[in-house]
Amino acid sequence: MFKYLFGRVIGGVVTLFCVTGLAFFATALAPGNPAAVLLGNMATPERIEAVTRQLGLDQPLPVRYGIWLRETLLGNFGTSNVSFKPVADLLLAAAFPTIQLAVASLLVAVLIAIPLGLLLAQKRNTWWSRPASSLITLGISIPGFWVGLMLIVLFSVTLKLLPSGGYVPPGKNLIGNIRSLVLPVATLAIYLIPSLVRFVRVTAISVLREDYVDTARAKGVRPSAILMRHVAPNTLVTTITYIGLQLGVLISGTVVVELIFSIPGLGRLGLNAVLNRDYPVVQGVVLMAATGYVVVNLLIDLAYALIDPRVRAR
Amino acid sequence: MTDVAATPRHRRQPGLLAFLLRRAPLALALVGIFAIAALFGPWLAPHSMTETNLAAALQGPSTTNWLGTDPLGRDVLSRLLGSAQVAAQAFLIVVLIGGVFGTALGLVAGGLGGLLDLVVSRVVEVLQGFPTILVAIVIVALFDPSLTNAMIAVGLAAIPDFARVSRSVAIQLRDREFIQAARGLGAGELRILWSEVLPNMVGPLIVIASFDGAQAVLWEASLSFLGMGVQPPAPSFGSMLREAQGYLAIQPIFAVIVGLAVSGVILGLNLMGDAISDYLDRGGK
Amino acid sequence: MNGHRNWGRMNRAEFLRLLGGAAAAAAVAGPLGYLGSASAQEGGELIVGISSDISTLDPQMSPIDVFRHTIRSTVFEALVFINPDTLEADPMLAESWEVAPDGLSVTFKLKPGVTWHNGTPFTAADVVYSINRVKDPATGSAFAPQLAAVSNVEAIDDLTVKLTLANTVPGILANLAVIQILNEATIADVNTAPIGTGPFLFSNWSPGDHIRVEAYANHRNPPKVSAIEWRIVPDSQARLAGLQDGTLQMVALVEGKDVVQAQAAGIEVIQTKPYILYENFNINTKRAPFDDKRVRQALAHAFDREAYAKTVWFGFARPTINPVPPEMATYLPDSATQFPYDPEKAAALLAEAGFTKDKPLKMEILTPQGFDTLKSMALLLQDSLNRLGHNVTVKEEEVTVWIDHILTNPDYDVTTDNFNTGPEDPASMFNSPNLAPASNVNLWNPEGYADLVAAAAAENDPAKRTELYHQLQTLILDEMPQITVNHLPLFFLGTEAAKSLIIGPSGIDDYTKIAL
Repeated sequence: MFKYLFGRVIGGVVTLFCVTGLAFFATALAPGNPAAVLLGNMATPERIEAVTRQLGLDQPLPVRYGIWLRETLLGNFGTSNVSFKPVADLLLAAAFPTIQLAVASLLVAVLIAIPLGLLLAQKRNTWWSRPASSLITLGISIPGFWVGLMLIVLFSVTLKLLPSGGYVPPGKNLIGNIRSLVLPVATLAIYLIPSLVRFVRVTAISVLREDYVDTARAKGVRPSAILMRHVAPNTLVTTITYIGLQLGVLISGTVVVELIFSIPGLGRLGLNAVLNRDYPVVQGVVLMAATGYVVVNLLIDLAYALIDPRVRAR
Repeated sequence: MTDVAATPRHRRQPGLLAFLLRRAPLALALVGIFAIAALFGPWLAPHSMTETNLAAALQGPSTTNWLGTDPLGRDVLSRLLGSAQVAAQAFLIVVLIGGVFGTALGLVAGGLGGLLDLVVSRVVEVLQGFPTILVAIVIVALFDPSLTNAMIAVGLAAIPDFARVSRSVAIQLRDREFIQAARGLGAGELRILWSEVLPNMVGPLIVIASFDGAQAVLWEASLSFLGMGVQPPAPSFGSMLREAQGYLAIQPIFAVIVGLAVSGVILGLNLMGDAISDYLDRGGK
Repeated sequence: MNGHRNWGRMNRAEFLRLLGGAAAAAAVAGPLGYLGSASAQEGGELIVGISSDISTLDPQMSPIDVFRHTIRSTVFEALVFINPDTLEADPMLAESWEVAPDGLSVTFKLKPGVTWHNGTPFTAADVVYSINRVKDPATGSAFAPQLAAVSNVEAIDDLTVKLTLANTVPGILANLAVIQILNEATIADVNTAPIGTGPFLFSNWSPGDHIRVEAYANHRNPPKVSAIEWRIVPDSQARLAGLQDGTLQMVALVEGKDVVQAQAAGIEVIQTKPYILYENFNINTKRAPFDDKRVRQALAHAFDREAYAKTVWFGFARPTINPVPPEMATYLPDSATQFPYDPEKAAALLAEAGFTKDKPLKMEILTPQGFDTLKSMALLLQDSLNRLGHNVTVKEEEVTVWIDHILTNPDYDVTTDNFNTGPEDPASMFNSPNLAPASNVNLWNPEGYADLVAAAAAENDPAKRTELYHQLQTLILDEMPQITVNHLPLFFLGTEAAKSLIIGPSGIDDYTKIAL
């Protein structure tokens, strides 16, 4: 068990190392000198050169990476090339809205998708199960920005029920915070639900085909009881692993939603930083996203190891 | 998705087409229209995809322009046909990158196991840890905005899906009798993977291809919506959606038509994936 | 970017961004700007939607920000303010000024009792410091060309500053209206927590999300709102929705299609004079075959300015081939309609230059991302030339990469762009990055052009001055180093209250009159 967990932790660290390394080299190789972007057209070549040096961009790439890695390990994420704010502050400020959005969307998606998936599995032979599945699939077939805009047009402009954008921190106004998140969460949940439902349905169907379920059925246990006692718990465990692996999709989804609804999250921060060639921030955002991904999956593995004796025995 | 049980190819199954016709006519119709548009779009298009006509901008459907015109007076139907072709290219690039690299990785990892499996699983996890959209933007910034560059990023994101499925199928098959038999006849492990294991995972891979292909079309639309896909004046679903939404209150029909077309294609591919998955699952019954 | 009068001297990207997401503000037409709402209440926060972020808080730098007017109009002040109605200088930090009879020096009397936001007094030394900082090449200020003729600046006493000029500069006050005065003692914090003398205190800049300033109660002209927050909302429909559901009270700088949709939704449209900006094609005149003026003239004939203004700008743009608007005294009469849309003439000129269907012209038009009208311009020119059998492509580039290709390492054929006309000073247009003799993106500087530009800028006699500007216009209309397409106003959308915004043509607006 310890060997297993140790291996997972090492694996996570290696993953982080690779992801940030790739992010570093990819951003550093991108065209457009950040110094020139920063200074604009009135800058003299000497001035551009000076700022290039000041930003440390004149060093060879591997050296820059080495410096960045050392500083990052020491907890120094650097300073934004644009706003001159510490990257750590920017990341901290942006992380909360994104985490709130992601967690809320995931929660909503899971609360809707698991019962729905189980239901569709249970009723898989009814006439309406197929059309219902198709309808749910529609959610993953409409681009997120389009769903968001349609929700804005309907709920903000026409019905005037919810704000069209902006983010209210919960510390400032809890009701406002919830109101400001309803449409973004709905947009993201609509995107997350279909694949979750599909996964839950398929998993549940395969559990329903297991021998012990047949035995239970033969014993005269009611179908709903079978669903609750045997199918649901087994499905849930696998679904959690699946969600962990879908985290990358979730992060990508938040980028689009943050853009449409003006939420000051990590996705927007990252996108703007790429466009402004603000390397320290880009690297910080990728590091943050990758860390989140690795840590959550590690926790899921841990939980799994605790639940499942087969893994524990490894 | 690892939900598709592998079935040895020796079992005969009723025809896929008959199954789809009976159980998933909508998927078949949508994918059919998409395929025809992508293959024959340039010949079917009633007008030029790029010729502008400002005197007839933003018109609703008419006998000359069946689906109306865009803000520069270009024919919407013709541009949608062109967009379908771009979407099909996105589909192919993503499925090729994801399918070839992902399947190879998964096959080797699952079939040979050991240290190799550990390393491959790690690589797959690294790829999964990347937020697709940021990678796509960085790649586009790094090279140049083009369909291929944008789709390489999406293709990389598809590798893990293919790898996971092929790995789990390979693990399941590794110790089956017909593999053991081949091994007994002295066949090398790689040869067994290629000629015995791979053919048996084609079904599940097709399912993944249609889901990830649908995602590819979705991502292509999202990236070209942000101006990072095909270059103007070539049409694409994302850039058309962007144009349409800018004129939402002026010509809503334009937005509705483009929205339906994009969603129809992606829905068709997703439903097709579901249907094929069902088919494999039920052995065609 | 709010109507910078000297756009020209700013980075193109700025102009571009301006058009793209939005268009800035400038001279509010007529008395509109002064009509506050009658039932105005004190307090309240003004939330403004903008399409993109700023890139620096330093008011003397801001090279590529469409929305730098946010900080520049609120936290800082200049010596004078260009009145949008009269296009003349009004007092701001300077109470009065006197130009020497020979026109070679200007003496400013500063307003007494003005304090910085940290409570220290504002003095002549701050003005001297600020002007020298802009002039210093090491600063790399985008505003340095405005002060090119300033040879010396000195503090006579605490409240008197004397500027010495190398030659007469009739537009010197207009030039000074864009030079923000900074506090030397706190200059180290200018990028993080800037200190100014303006009616608003800097509060917070959260990059990619918002910029916030709060009312400075000790200002001599305190604002009626308690704070202004500019929110970055990249999507134009989301900005419109924000106005409609009350999330936003104002949207800065929008395109024609947004104006039409806002009008349909009953949103107020605030519009400047109709000639603050012009859209154009810049041409790399050093690269064959664009070094041949017949090719450039052919491009001018190949673009349908009338249809573009009518359809893409919904009639809000005014087609013209001359960047100088007819409203300016220096305008060359009857020049706006030269080079009408005429594909046959274009084909004939190209044929003369050696390009026919059999030997087509190969050309790439660049256009910066996020600027929809500019993209339409590029597509229309492309389509028009390709119909004549030529081989034209369009490439949409991310703004940072585009700047690189146009400016830092010029490598392009033709690009779309836009610039400020600078209506209060005829010299400013000829200092813009597409027409400035010394360095322009068209790489165009024929014999005698620099002398003509310099002579016109220094000429005090109105009649002679007009004559010199006529010569300049005749030259650029014949040589066609860049192709002007139209004149444009800047549009703001908002609630009734937003109408009290005074949009200055110099890129400095007055937000103090707005009451919610």
